[in-house]
Amino acid sequence: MPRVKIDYVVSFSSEDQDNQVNNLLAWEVGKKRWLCKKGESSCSVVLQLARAVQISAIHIGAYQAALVEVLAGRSETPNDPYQVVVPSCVFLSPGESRRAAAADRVRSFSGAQLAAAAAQRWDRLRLVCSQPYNNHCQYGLSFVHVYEPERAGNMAAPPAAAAAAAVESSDEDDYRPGQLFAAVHTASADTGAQIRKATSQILKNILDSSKLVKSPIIKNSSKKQNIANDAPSTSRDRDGLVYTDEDNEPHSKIDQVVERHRHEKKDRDDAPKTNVRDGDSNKKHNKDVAKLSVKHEKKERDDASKTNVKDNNNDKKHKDVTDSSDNSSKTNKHNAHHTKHSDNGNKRDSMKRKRDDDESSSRSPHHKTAKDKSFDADNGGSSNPDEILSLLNDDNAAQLARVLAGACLVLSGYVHPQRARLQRLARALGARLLPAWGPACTHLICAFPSTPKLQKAYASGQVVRAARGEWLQACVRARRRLPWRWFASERRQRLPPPPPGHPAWNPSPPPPAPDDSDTDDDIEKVLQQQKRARSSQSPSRRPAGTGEGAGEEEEEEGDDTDTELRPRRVYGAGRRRRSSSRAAGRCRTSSTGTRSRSRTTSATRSIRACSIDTSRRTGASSWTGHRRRRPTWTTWCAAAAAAAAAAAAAAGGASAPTGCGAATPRGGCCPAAGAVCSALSPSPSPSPSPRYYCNKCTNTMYTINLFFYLMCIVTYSQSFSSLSM
Amino acid sequence: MSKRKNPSNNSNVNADFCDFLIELSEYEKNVSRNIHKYNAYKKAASVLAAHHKRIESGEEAKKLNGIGDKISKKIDEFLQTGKLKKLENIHQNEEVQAVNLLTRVSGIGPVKAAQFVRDGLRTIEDLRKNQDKLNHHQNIGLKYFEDFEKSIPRSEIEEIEEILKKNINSIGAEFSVTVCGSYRRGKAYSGDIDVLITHPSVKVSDGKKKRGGEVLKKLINKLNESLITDTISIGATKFMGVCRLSKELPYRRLDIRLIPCEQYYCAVLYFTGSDVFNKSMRAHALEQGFTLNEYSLRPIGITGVPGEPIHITSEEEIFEYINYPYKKPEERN
Repeated sequence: MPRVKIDYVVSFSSEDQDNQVNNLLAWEVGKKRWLCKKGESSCSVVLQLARAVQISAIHIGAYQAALVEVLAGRSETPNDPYQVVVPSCVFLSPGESRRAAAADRVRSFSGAQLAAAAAQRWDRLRLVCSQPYNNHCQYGLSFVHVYEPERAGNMAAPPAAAAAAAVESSDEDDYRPGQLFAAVHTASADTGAQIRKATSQILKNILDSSKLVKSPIIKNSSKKQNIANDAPSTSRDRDGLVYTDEDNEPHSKIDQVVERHRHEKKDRDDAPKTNVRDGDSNKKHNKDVAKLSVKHEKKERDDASKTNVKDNNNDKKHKDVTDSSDNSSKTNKHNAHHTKHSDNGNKRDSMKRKRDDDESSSRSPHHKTAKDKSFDADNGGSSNPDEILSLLNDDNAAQLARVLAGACLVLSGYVHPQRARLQRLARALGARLLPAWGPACTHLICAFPSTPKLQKAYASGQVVRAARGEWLQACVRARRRLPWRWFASERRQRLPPPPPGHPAWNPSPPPPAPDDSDTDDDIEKVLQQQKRARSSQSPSRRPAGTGEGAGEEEEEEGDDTDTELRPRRVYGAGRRRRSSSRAAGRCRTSSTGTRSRSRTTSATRSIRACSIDTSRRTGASSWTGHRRRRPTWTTWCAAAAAAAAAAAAAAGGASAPTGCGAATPRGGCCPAAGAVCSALSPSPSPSPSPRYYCNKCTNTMYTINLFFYLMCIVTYSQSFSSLSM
Repeated sequence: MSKRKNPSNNSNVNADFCDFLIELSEYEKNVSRNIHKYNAYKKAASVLAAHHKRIESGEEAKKLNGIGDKISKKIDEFLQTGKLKKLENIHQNEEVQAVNLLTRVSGIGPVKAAQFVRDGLRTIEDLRKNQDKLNHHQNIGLKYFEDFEKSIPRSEIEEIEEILKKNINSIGAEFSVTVCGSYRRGKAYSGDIDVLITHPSVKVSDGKKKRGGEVLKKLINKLNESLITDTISIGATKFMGVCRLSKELPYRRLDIRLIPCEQYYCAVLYFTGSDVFNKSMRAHALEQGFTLNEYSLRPIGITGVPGEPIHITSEEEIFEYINYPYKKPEERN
């Protein structure tokens, strides 16, 4: 560690005749020193180094000075403020200063004792000494030794100054070239932990802000009351004397501060409001769809005039789009049950949901307003964790335990306490939890897209279903398995969930009530209904808006692990026609027997799910949808043709940008094969590979797709406009 | 920090002023959540409490440090009418009263209290009926609500200190123990018991987790047999809980902190208080070019960067460094 020569003294505050400042330039430590004049409380000196160096250590000998601080600067920029290299340090205690005993002190500073600025290169040092405790002594510096880091290879520990032993010696840490980076590198080795930390930070922030939003200030109301109370009293002289601009006028400093805080809070309060507005716009879309299919509505009314009279908008809408006349007695029952609670309009619907929730969790610690509720639903059900957990406590435990039975989850990116909460939810839902991704895993619960675990899972080549934690919460709330794609952590896999008020979110009815069970009579009725449907030559359907939602099909089909992939097949742009016609074909061929019935219904439900989606997106059919889909030219033509052909099921469906995840890779990577095989494969076999781009193609594909994507928008809008006319 | 701080003592000739000022300060803290007004009222109350003679008019009070236009007018109004309009309004407002009541429970602050009141929980009885809405700390605060309201006589703390010292010394001889808070300031009654412990082996550089290892837990386990009845929370460096000397005496709030030896005296100074004294001391330190907090005393460089923590071996040294005449704990009220 070579010592740096001090070239000359640039400047100084004062010097003693016998102890001039130039004594500091001596290479050897002698008896000579620099002292300031008597009676000054602080003195300073600026030294010019021989060249600009990085400072690795400084040894300072001080005489009678109580505090010493070292700053650094550059002669090129003399006006820039000096930066601290050694923060202010005590050399003598007040007592020692006053006694003026043991006046010589040496301290050395290196490694962590130096401020961060020492890592830069400097050529000027400024030393500031002070002695506030003794006005009668002269004080100053005996020597200043500056060391730079070893330039080549071997680093010896800096020779500890012999004199430093008398006082506290510094640790001998030193920076080697590249050492800093090495340290950073080792620190960043555990990326998983880092990400967890980062998320926890983010989540904390979110939680904090939500807390702020939730806690309204009582101040407002109470202040108003004060004003109200004070107002009449101002007429009286005495009160006027005491209370003129008492607490109400914001001109005093304190009130200004309070006012500012309140403004900030208000701003934060506005944020959720905008979200609510988004929800409103969604509703508008839905209404548009309803208008589009007035014809069907008419027919509907004839079919189910009894039940539909009071039905809410949502129900109508879904019925409209899914074209069918199949009204089983079972669904009638459901509707009748439904109409008890539901009214027109989504607000009421969410109110009803609130009531339901309250019934199921009467002990839930936080009462929320209906507005809060609907906001929660917008978020995909991320709401108060306590409330969710309290749902676990009720007597539906057995029912809940079946919801995700057979699923095997891996959590990624979540930190405590949220991690623990999700683990509890998952266990309550009957899922198995594993610490790391393996062949047995079915779902990955990611805090955010592209966690390391998710990437590893993709790399493993298996089917990876990556959902956010809200999925579990929503499942608990709905007491049934909701499609994970509603909560997919990655955009390209995500399916837009139904609007907040949609019955798909509602809790499934408690386990088999005697009325709802499929008795033989019921089955007979269903079959008859289906026969009628067939004779009327229209695709069968079951009306949406009954107590059961799209996700229920998974329960019915038991151990069929791939059921969740079904919507994708149906949504795939190029295959819409085939799948719908296949569904129709099934309807025709479905004879007696419950098995075929369930198959039919599941197929039709798939279509229905598609159309649910449609109803959300039609009209201006959102821009983002296209982007997600990245369809190729061929799939697009097919889509347009399909849309025209299958007008009934897919009237709006063609415009629905639904197949976000699935359509893309097959269209791009191996379009024909993927599309055909999955469309034609009669049994839903889990075929993992075609779901994602193979790595090789990805890059080229993105560029190609970008080009096609632009062209597609043009054709798409044309085809849609012709359709809607 | 105790919820029952009260600057007025027996010899206070301005006690009635102090009472209404403290009530106003509570209102500002709990209900309107304006910490600055709270501090202003607090300061005025403590200044009046320390004043040797009875205040006769608002004009006279205004000359005191910490009493300005508004408070002097309030004193005038109080002197002339015997009551205060603002206070009357507060008394009439049930919501305010409920919030004030609930904040008296240990573990319930203004925010939580306001939330409870919004949820319709207005009395201690309501809380007892809805214990599932409280956390562990609040439940304990509720359980011993009446006991925690009672102030602790000095003699009782002395006995508790004795037991603590005996137990700690049986773990290691070099431990030092200080009971801080108003007890150390020589008050006859205290709201709670604040105990600081250190050992030469407990260093800042060890990091929070390793610091002192299991010393605190070991100590608490020992005390669990004789003194401590409940634990609100316990970590590596801080214990919060409830103790009781004997069956006849009420339950008391007890805090024990394990402090690294380098920070011990700054911590003792801080936890001895009083809060007003701490504020004035810190302000003085800043004037002298130092920054003082409960961890360390550091010189401030000419660019405003705080320097390294000064090695301190006694409370007096802190005063010495910042050129502040030493005040015994009893003089810091």
